[in-house]
Amino acid sequence: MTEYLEGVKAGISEAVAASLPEGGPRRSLYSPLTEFVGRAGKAIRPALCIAAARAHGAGTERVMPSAVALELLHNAFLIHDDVEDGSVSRRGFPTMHTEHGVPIAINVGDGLAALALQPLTQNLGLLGSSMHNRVMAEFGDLLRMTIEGQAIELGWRAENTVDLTSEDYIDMVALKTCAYTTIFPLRIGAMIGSWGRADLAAVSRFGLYLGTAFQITDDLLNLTGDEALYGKEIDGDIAEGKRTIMLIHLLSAAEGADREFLVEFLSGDRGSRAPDDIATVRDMMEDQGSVEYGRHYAAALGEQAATAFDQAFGSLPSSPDRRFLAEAVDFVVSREL
Amino acid sequence: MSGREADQVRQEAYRAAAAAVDRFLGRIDDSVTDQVEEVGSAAWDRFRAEMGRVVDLNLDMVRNAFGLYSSFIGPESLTQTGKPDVLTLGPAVPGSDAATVLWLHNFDDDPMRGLTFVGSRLSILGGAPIDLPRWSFSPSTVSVPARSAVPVVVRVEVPVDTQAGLYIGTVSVQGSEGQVMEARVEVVSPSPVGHDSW
Repeated sequence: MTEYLEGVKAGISEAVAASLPEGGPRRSLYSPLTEFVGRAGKAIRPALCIAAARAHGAGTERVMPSAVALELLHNAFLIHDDVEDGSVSRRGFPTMHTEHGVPIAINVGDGLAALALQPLTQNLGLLGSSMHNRVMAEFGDLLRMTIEGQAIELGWRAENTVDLTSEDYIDMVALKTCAYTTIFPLRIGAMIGSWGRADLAAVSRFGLYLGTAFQITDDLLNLTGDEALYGKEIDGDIAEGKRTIMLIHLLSAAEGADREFLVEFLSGDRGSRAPDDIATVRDMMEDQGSVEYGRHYAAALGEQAATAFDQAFGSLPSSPDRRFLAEAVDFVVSREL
Repeated sequence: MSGREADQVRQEAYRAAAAAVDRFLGRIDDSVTDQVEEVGSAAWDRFRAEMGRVVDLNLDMVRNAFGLYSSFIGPESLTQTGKPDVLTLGPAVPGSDAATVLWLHNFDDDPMRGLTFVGSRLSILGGAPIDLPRWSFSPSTVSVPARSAVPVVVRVEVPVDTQAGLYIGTVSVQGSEGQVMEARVEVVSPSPVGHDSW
């Protein structure tokens, strides 16, 4: 699993680096952009896309432009996401806006989103016009749904929505995280690899279970992880007022003064939340079983992902790519970074 | 958290995620895919009409019922537009083999067993055909499990006295039902020995 990811990372890093402009402007655009892309990410999105294509018998070169586009888009989303969340560290370094200011960070994010379109033009020659159109349509849905998911979450925070259910959360994460992290990378890879014959509903189902398990695990790591490994600040989600499944559980479990404190805590902005209050919310999550609730929830989704894998990819011939997809379930649920 | 409570959490997760899948799929815009499939279907019909002059095929049977679908590694990759199934071998010089890899995709839920292959004579416009080409298929007999793909290496010997050009023939996949593909073998002249290669 790790070996497969490392192999994909090496190939993707090379292809991404080759896709970046060499000219200017350097200081306010391409230098920070290149530095950010060069930070060690996990390359999960391109890896899922490549594996889904190769598991169907396709060569890497057939899917590489789409995989590169996914990685560039991911980096674009991260930069804008960090601005929106007021996050201070990313992949073990300061976030783009912390280091270069918000205006440059937004522009670098826009630049990465624009650069992501360029490799997709290669699909016309590689795949033919019909498949090229289908892949472009998938990227269109990916972008739209990711932005819709982000809008839902930002709306919850802006309006201080506190009466959410786990169903609300899963719907939001399906759009905000799963669409571009698992569902569409898998769909695009499977579509290209099978020349459009793969069962995309089954692939989507696997992607949604895998992606929601991934997101909840990520949110758990934000509470319990090792900051040096995790690369983001611990308890940062609480400081942001992010509606994680643990916070949603806590809001439903807390009563009386505790719930009043929580609603008041969430009504402010990030800057108004004192470290002591953040620690109090963290302790409440432990006391009310919210962290344990999140662990069981992620484990259940992981189990469902394993079943959905069998329906989406189980009948394909054995290969390292198919094995990677199967092992991805354990990886996302048990990861430490 | 007790075992019963943990089980309740899991059931809650199952229900929420299952419902989310349906809602998510409902948000995907299928209009482009539908449009593309319509165009592809029309192109397939045109191709079938053209192919009718060459060989007598029931391509609908192949495409829709049999589920056998071929794609090739190389620039002639099959696309969803209904582009003809063309197997391109070579370029090869006389006295060598022209080769390619044929991928057999089985999109059905049932396995396909005992598929064998036959290559035809190779014709060229305005030139002498290769009457009895020596085809080889590795493996010679193939089974394709349900919803999977199997590669077959296809080779044909190009006799030493063959003139350069594009030779056209067919490769048939034979089983309970079959498929015939156009085979193109590009033969090129050996590079002349000139000063540049000294």
